[in-house]
Formats: sequence, structure tokens, C-alpha cells
Amino acid sequence: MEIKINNLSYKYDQKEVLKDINLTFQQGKIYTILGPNGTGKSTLLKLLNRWLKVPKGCIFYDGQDITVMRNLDIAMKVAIVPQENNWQYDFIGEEIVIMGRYPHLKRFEKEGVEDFKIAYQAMNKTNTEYLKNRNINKISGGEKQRLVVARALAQETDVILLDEPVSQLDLQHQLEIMRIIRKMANEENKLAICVLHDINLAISFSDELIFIKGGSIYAQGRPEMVVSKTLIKDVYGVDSEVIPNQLTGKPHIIYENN
Amino acid sequence: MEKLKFKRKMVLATGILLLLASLIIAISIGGSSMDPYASFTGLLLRGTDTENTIIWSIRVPRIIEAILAGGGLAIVGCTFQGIFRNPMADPFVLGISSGAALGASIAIVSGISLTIAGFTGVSVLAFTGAILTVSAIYLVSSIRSRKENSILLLMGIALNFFFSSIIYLLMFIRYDKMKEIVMWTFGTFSTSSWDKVFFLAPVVVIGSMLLGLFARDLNSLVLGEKEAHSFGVSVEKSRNLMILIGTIITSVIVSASGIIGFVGLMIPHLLRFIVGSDYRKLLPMSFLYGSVFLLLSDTIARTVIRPSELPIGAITALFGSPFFIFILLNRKKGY
Repeated sequence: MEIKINNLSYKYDQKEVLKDINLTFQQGKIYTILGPNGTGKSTLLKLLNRWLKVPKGCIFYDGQDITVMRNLDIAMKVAIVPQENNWQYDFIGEEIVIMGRYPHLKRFEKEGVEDFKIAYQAMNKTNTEYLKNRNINKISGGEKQRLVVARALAQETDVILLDEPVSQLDLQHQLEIMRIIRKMANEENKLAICVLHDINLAISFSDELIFIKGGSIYAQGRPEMVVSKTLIKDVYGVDSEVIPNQLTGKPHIIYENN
Repeated sequence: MEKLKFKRKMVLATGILLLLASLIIAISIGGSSMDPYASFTGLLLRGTDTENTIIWSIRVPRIIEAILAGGGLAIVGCTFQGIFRNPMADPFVLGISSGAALGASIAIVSGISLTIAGFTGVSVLAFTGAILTVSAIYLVSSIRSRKENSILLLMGIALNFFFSSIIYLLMFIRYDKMKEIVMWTFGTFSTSSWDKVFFLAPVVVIGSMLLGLFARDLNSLVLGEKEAHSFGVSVEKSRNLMILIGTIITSVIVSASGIIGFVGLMIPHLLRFIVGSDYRKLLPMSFLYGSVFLLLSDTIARTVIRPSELPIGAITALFGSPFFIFILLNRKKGY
């Protein structure tokens, strides 16, 4: 699936949050949206699956304006991985993952063998099978987030939106989640659109970076094409050096201390 | 999982057995000093006329009303706790109880004496008060584009206080009616009749089955509204429908039997501790255990000081709270 954004502007309480956004997202790639807090990154993500009210003629899935689509049709195409999982009530891992099958079920229909098979495959890919009987409130943040990724995979959508999926996790779990997503993009041709704060993490896992400043796109393109000392200074107001990453050959940013 | 599935089956089987046991107890004993054997002959219409009448016109409708009220309140409480993602939510959280109490107080104070389908003026005004309260909350809160849970809840609390004040003023002005108003707010099944049962049963049964259809929506809403939306749930629509159904069920129960607290708040929690939060299991089990709980409470209320009765609203929490605290403290971590 291809997602196209045409001249999207968005106002929240009279304040313009996004201005004239034009973007195209293609299958099999990871796009990461970066920028300072409050620049509209999360807003953009929330518009992409119509959680916020989208103006007509601005966002298209395969050429179809999403304002005319049913919620269910959107849920069949786009899954989400939110930043925080505020789970107050007790569920077990399996119950969380099987929720990814909800859009595929009719109101009177029960989850079938096939749905459980898909859910277990998703758990296998995210290494969460051992969590299927565990209470979700008794597992670590990394395990929770892997379950949520499994749920998004069980939803069998072409697109996954990830809003700061790793910001609550330690280094090992950050990499674990990002590797799973990279693998899904490579092997299953998924389109992943992320919001991340860690620019170096974004550089190593993304096909394209999109820098937003003050609600407008400041720069976009392959990491090695867009990342530079001036960009970091302009977007974040921070002094830095960009050096080549010895392992990947991609750019790596080192921040100055003062 | 296998362990949890087994546990759920056990809890379900236990609930059904408890319901049957409570039914037998509730039919056997009562205010009149009839022996349990005579009760059963009465049930089979083989006793004396008095026995038949006591069983069929007094105990059976009362038992059915308690079962419907308990089940209905518990399933609505369970639903509201999910919609509002708030463990403190119960069927009365949107001000239904105080709206109904105000309606009932007005009827009592003004001495209206109409009867509609077996319902007295008090019941009718209580029902009207409950429905109007929730409608008012809804209209006011819909001024905002996206209804926030906290606003609905806070409005409910504010209205609860507001209506309570009016009720206090009414009682202050009409001191002679105070006892009647207070007694109404305690809740009772002593006024049950077949008329009431015929009115309650379809509303509670159909309403509860409709709520059951929202089990998956509730599961996803409990995770968060954004998540529910991403599974294709029309968050606003689905929530409005559930609130509407829940309000109707609760209003009908309250107008028939007054305000009976505790059951709608605690039964769903108690079950959550034991069988987890999956609403597909939690909703039917809440209904089952709510029924058992109110049936037993009512049996206690009408027998311990017979031929007089205790207010059921006092009984539910008196016995329920210590039990609930016991479970809360002994709850095993994880399953």
C-alpha cells in the first residue's frame, strides 16, 4: 500500500500544528519522523489512521481519500504501536495479541483456529510465545512492547504506525524492537512509520528520515543525504559533530556538551 | 493458560451451583413461618391455597426481581468500569442514583398516586429522574468535540452532590416524609410483583445480552481509546451505545427496587481478581455472580429479623465489604 499526504495542514484549538505537509510513503520501508517536542510529529501519526479528524482530500491510502473510509477499513490497513501501554486491568499475553484479530471478526463471530494460528505466528516472530499465559501487569516494559508489536503483526496490516515505540525501554530492548520492525519491513514488505527521539537509532534503522520543525517539513530523505551539522543546529538548536559510524558507514551524531 | 481456562470453568460451574443453592434457600425460607417442605409443595401448586399464594405471588417474583437486579447492576458496573477505564466506576457513576432518588423524593413529597404497569408514581418519577440526569450530563458534555471520560465522571459526581442537596432540602421542609424518602434510598425487593418482573425481565435480559455483544469493544477500550480506534472500533458510537443501554438497565432496576449499591462496583472486581479482565468472560460471570449475591443478600434481609425486614442496601455492603477486603488482601500475585 502507498500512503500519500497532500498539502495537509492541521489546526488544534486555533493553533496551526501542521503546515502544508506533502509526503509519500511506500511499502517495505521504514520512515522515521524526527523533530523537537511539540512540532506535530505525533499529530501527524494520529492523522494517518484518522484518530484525529482529517481534512478532506489530504490523506490517501492507495489513492483513496481516508475521510470516506469506514473505521474498520482503516483498521484492516493500519495498525499502531503506541508509546505507552497503560494497562490497568489484568489480561494475559495471548488475550492482548488476539486483539489484533478484532477488525477481522464480525460482531457475532468468535475467534477461530485461523485467528489463533495468526496470533501465535506473530508471537513467534516477536519472541513472545512464552508470555501467552502470563499476566501483562507482571512482565517487563520490553516484553509488553514486544506483545504490542505482536498484536500489530496479528492485525495483518500493510502499515504499522509506531509512536515513540522504544522511548520507555532500555538499550537492549530498544534494539530488539527496532530489529523486529526492520525485519518486518524487509521480509514482509510492511510499511513502518515511526516517531523517534534518538536520531542515531533512527539513522541506523530507517530508510528515510523526515525532520519536522514548527509544523513544517524541514528536510527529508535517506539518512546519509539529510543528516548534517547544520540540520541538527537548525532543527534542535544543538551543536554537534557528524562522524561516520564505523560499523555501518552511516552518519553518527555526537553532541557537544556546552 | 490451561490453568486459567480451568479456573474459569470452575468459577462458572461454582456460580451456577451457587445460584441453584441460593434459589432453593430463597424459596424455602421467608417471613411467614412456613416450613421448607411446605414451600416446595407450594411451588408445585400442591400446597394449601395460602402456601401456593405465598410462594407464587410473593417469593417467586421477589426472587426473580433480585436475580435480575443483581445481574443487571453487576453487568452494567462491569461495563462502566471498562468504558471509563476507572475501577471506581459503578452503575450509578453518571448520577443515576441521585437523579432517581430526587425523582422518588419529589413523588413522595408531593404524594402523587398514579400507577403505571404496576409501577407507582415513585417508581415512575425515579425512572424519569435517572434518565433525565444522564441525558443532561450527556448534552452538556457533548458541547466539547471529543467527550472525555473524566468530564463525564466529574459531571456525574457534581450532579450527585447537587441532587443530594435538593433531597436534603426536601426532607428538611417535609420532615414528615423523611423516613419514607430514606427508606426508598435504602432499596428493597419487598414491593416486588409479577407486573414489575414482566417489565424488568425483558429490559434487563435483552440489555445484558446487547452489552455482551460489546465484549471485544470493551477489551480494546480498556487498553485505550486510541488502541480501540486502531482495531476498527467506532469509539464514540460504541461508548454512547453502551452508556445508553447501561443507563436504561440501571434506571429500570432503580425505579423498581431503589438504590442498591456495592453489587455493581464490587462483583466485577472480585471476578477480575479471579478470572482476569477478558470481557467476553467477565460480562456473563458478572451477571451470574451479581444475581447470586443479591439473591442471598435479599434472603438474609427478609429473614434475619422476620417477620420484619432489613434494608437490602445495608445488607449488601455489610456482608460484602469484609469479604471483598479479605479477597483483596489474599489475592495471589499473577496467575
